[in-house]
Amino acid sequence: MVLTPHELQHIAQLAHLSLSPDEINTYLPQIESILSHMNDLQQVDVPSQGASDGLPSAILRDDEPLAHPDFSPQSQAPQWEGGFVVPRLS
Amino acid sequence: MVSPVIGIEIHAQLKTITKLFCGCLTQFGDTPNTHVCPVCTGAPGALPVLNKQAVVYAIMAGLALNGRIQPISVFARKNYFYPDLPKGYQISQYDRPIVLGGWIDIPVQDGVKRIGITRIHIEEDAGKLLHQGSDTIAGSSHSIVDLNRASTPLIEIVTEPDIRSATEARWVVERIRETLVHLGICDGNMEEGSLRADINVSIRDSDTSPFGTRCEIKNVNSFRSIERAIQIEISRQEALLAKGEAIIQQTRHYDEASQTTRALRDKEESHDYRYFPDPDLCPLVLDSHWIDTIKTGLPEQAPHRRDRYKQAGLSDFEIDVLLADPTACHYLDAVAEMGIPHPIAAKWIVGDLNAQLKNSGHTFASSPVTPAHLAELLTAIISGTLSGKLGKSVLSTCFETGESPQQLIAKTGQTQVSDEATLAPLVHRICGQHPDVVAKVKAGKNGAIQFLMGQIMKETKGRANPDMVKGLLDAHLHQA
Amino acid sequence: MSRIQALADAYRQGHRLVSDEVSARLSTIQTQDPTIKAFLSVQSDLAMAQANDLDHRFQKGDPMPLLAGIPIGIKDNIHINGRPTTCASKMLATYTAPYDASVSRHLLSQDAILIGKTNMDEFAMGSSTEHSAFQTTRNPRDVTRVPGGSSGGSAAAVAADMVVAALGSDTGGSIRQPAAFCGIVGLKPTYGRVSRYGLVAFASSLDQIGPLTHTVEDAAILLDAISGFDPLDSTASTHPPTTCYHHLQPDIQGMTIGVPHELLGETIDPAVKASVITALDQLAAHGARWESFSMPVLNAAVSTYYIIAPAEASSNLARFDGVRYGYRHPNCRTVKDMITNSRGHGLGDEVKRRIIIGTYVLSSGYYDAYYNQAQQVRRAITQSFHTAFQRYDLIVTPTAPSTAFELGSHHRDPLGMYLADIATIPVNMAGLPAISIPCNPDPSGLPIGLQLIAPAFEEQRLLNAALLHQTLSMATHTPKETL
Repeated sequence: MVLTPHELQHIAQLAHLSLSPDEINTYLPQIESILSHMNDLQQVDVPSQGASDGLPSAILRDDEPLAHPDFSPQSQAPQWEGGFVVPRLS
Repeated sequence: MVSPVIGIEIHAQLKTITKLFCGCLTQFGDTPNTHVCPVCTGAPGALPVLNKQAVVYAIMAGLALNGRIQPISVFARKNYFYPDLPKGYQISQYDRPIVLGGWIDIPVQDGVKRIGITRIHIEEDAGKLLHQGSDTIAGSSHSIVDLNRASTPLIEIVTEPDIRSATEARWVVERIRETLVHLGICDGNMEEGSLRADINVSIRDSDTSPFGTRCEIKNVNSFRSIERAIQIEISRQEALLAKGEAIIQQTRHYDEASQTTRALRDKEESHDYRYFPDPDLCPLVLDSHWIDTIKTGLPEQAPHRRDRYKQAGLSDFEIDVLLADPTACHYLDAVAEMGIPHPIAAKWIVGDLNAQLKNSGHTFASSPVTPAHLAELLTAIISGTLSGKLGKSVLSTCFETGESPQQLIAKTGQTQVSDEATLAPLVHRICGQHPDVVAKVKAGKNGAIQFLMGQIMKETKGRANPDMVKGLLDAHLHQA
Repeated sequence: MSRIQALADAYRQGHRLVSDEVSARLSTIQTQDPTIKAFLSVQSDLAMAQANDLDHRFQKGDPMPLLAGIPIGIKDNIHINGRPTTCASKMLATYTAPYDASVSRHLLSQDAILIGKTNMDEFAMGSSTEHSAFQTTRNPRDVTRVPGGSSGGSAAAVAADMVVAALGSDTGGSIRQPAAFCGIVGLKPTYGRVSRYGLVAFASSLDQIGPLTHTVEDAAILLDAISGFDPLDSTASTHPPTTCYHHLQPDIQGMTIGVPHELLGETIDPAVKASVITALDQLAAHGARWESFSMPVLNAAVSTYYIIAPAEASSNLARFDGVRYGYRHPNCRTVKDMITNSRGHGLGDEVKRRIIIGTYVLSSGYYDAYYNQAQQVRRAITQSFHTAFQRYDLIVTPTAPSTAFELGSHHRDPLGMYLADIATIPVNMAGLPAISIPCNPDPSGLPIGLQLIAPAFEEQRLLNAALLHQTLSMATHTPKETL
């Protein structure tokens, strides 16, 4: 199974990771070898078990306010004007 | 003549006190970024914990819309990057939603049409982006992210593509909205965004042709916009096909001002949301007893209420006004419970009281005229001790001062005289004083009776019960 | 012998001042850490102020929690309010924790002294601590070698006596393997035992916080201190905190031990194998019985892990976008550029590789073949353990196939590094508790770890057996006590 540089770029875009040409060259063979190793998974016999058998159930929280008076969203914001400033969308 | 095929996705904000996965308040309109915490701002190390009330509301919606509540449903992550999405994923439900199936009835020309519902699921809302430097995304220089709304609970209701016209579509949204508002789980305010509708539109040659390519219309913010947006989209698709062009599946943004839709910029990468079950949340396993308890506790729903009022004799107009506001219905029922027939109470509620409320900015819940007050007033009118005309002014005063109608009526001494023992002799006397008029009435000039009525009203300073006087006059004049 | 208990006794008897203890530890850090590089940040002023306060309270004779005045290191992916949490990443180089992790809250409420934040592989992704963006930690037993990872800083800090104990996190072996490489004890509790609130998530269904200590008793004390239901973590079990220390006794009597032969095969170093078998034979001479058995599904464990963990990580790390905190790349014209470049420059190679793998296996067209299949195999692994535990009371394996390897030796070979996690990964897949304890070192003196695995929520059984081994063991190279 071969991963093309184009495919790698596509995945990096989906993951919003900028990759330099060097990084593409370095990562490509490494990721390919990892992915091809995973093909052995196809050989494993898996039990036909219901996906939800014996699973614990979701914890539910009462609809009560919980204040965070010390939490300041501003304090670590890279840029702030009453809210988180981001560049234009496109 | 093309045959449109329409499906709708409705997002409704649930009226919980706190957000879906954290204890922040869901209040709106406050200073940006003041109802936030590590969880809803996507801080590292924070974890979601599900709000029980949101689950209850989702179950209520599922029951009221006739769906099947799923005993096990699963939360999934919908992964994509956007500044208003703090975690880089939205917690939603994917292939195992909390409700499957359901339906809603809408009125059509010759009766009622049933529109199928595919599913309902729970998900969290995103924050808001405020664009600076321009009114449009395209022109803005930068944006500011406000996360007050982030992680507000939503339910998404998806209809089957059973809708065949813009009018039907509007009815679907209206009736679903009404259902949610009557349950008390959503404000249903499209302009403010507590109810949003995305419309999927396609066209085909006839009812039996296969479905065409559909486009999704977003940013439809009112009932009128629903109809308009669908109409222009149908026209657009018709025109394309007429030219021999294919319809591209895309998402289009509706602009109310220009009455057009335009394609949203196609992202280079496809919408690959890479859904997978959220490992921070266990599956939602619902006990059937719990669901039954919720079912028994459901408030009266709109279709049932509509039927009940119709049977009680209310007009369609009155029913529409009342059903638009469940608190008006509660008010009406409260008054009726105190012995006032529905039609009489409804007339006053939909008319005078509603007008007073609109002018003053009060609501039915905060009305200075309480149901008890109105019941008092209407009892007096029904028994004849108060004329309708006087009743209106008593209502007004009660509204302003909060004094009870009993007190007001006693104060002004403006009770109506409705007692036969007083009125009969008076009728006798007045007729005796005006024999010429009596003769005219007997001769067939019924209009002359007004003169006699006027004399009697003058004698009683307007307090005589006009219906009773009329009855007594008729009886007196036609017996001789 | 519990070092925590010994120190606690000394405090109460007036033989030792907290301020002297903390001072001594800070001094050790000052002299040794320039070489070892276990700590990313040390909050010495805070520690001394706390120590002075505790001395007053000890003097007054106030009843004090067991952990009062005990110096502890915290892995730098666990929040302590107001202190740095960098996860050893440029992305969070200047980030300050906005709240306490639940485990930190527990330790602080018991007056433990959290001396500083320890080094790790970036975002816990790695097995050597070489993937830290800031510094490479060295193994105190041999400074040319890695301490293991990803909790290498915590392991080194304990091994070098800079702290009495430390907390780490374990997703595929990141507590146990460094413990084995550094010759100390490392415990990964049952999944859900300890709250993950305030632990920067790597792989949510696998991560657990646990202690690294010199002795089994100390591991029990810390487990008791940090475990228990937490309403802020939906995956935390409803069990109350453990009481393992109180009930701790060396015990292996009548137990049957199973050893999967897939984990004693040719991929395991002969010296490691020999040491493990010696330990097993020793246990057998004291009331247990051991035998080898087959768990063939273990051969797929590494692949399963390296699909599930990166998949969850790719999603968990999506929040690092430069919008609300962390590194923001300058001069980006559009939001997309800003996000992409902030992540591209703020995240290291190993992290980016795993995000790419994770994104790939979740992407449309590949989800069924990879992610879905991996989850099925994971269930098979869990089932396989369940079946084994019907026959065996404990399962024992080497913690790692080798002793600590040399710094830089796996530089070009991520896959090789991944394959070395073969013994620890299956435990996280099944959510089981496991502990690594030192057994006989190799001929050159490098530490070797013995891993004990118990059924879910059977930490008492696990710790009792581990304590017996510790008592019997002559393999413990105890550094000079600093008392």
